[in-house]
Amino acid sequence: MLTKRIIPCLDIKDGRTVKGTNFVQLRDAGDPVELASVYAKEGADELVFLDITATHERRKTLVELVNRVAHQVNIPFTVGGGIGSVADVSVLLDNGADKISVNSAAFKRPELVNELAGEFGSQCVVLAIDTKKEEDGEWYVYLNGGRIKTDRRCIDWAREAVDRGAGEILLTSMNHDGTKAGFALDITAALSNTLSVPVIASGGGGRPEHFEEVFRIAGADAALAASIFHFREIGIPDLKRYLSQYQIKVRL
Amino acid sequence: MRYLRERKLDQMIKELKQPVLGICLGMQLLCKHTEEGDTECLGVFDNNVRKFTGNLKVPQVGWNTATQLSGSLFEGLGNDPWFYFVHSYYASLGDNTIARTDYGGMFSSALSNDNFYGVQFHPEKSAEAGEKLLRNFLSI
Repeated sequence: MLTKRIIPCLDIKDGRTVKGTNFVQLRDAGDPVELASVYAKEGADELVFLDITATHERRKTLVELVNRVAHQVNIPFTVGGGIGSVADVSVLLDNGADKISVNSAAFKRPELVNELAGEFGSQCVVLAIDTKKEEDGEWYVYLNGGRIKTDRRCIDWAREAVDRGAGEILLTSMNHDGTKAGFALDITAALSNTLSVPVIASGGGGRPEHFEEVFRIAGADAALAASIFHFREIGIPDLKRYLSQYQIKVRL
Repeated sequence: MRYLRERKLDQMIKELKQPVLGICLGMQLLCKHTEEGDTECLGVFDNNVRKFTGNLKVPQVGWNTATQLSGSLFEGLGNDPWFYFVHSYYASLGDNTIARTDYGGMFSSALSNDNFYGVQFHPEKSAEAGEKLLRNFLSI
């Protein structure tokens, strides 16, 4: 039986992890490759690298990083951040990324999803959506790292993107991100129950029971978190043992 | 398959005598026929490739177990090792099946026939179990 996936996310700036970590065994806490290797050994099921560099040199640094990760990490990894074209994706995949995630660029030009799925296959196209629940009770799509609100409902954009060839949805709730108060169960369930592709829940995971809920109640296929793993608030082996006790199928 | 035929690699591959390992689509190409584009394949394995149907998320993405293992490819890997899968099509069960995986029903997660081997999962992305399998292949 297919398992639920636990995915640590590493924010990358100029080829280094930001936000810091609390890993005592790391020689260089800022080195994404070293951190990634530790997660892989601990039983992380996949990794996501999110590039937040804003300079022109970013592409070259990111490509070098991807190449190093591919050589040294033996689990699948996704690269996202600022990807806007087939050419951007081509160089990342050529250097060993397994999947890429697109966000704002795909929303602004939805044909990008068709182009990427057509060129590389749906299996490597992850559509990332940052979403926020407004006072009217609806979840809307936000762009540019949550800075720009759109009038598009999250569920509508997710459906369209899947029709266009997205192979997975990475759903981040801005209401929950950073709160450590639990994932957004309602919108995660809405997507997970209606879409034909896997849904990765992100934002709000702070305790093992939050992960159990997002899998059992919301039907997420995977759950992503960053700082709780980086700061050892939850260890991946402990989290997986917890989930297993609650009959959530995980890879142990 | 068109790419292979244009370069006459289809004949060449079938005549290989050294150990050959097909991964994911590489395994499917070694089967008899695939529903993907209704395509005749190389026919090294006596299996047909079909699309997942029913109430399943497609592609299957993630970690699943391989069971009922046979042969040296899986030596030292225990009973039900975990491997990483990403695929929308699967190979049916048959005489060449050397591992089975359940996703809405059992399918062939590994095949072998003489010097040819195929795995539906990605050993290169399957942590220690995948590395072990690749080492086993290299020592065949």
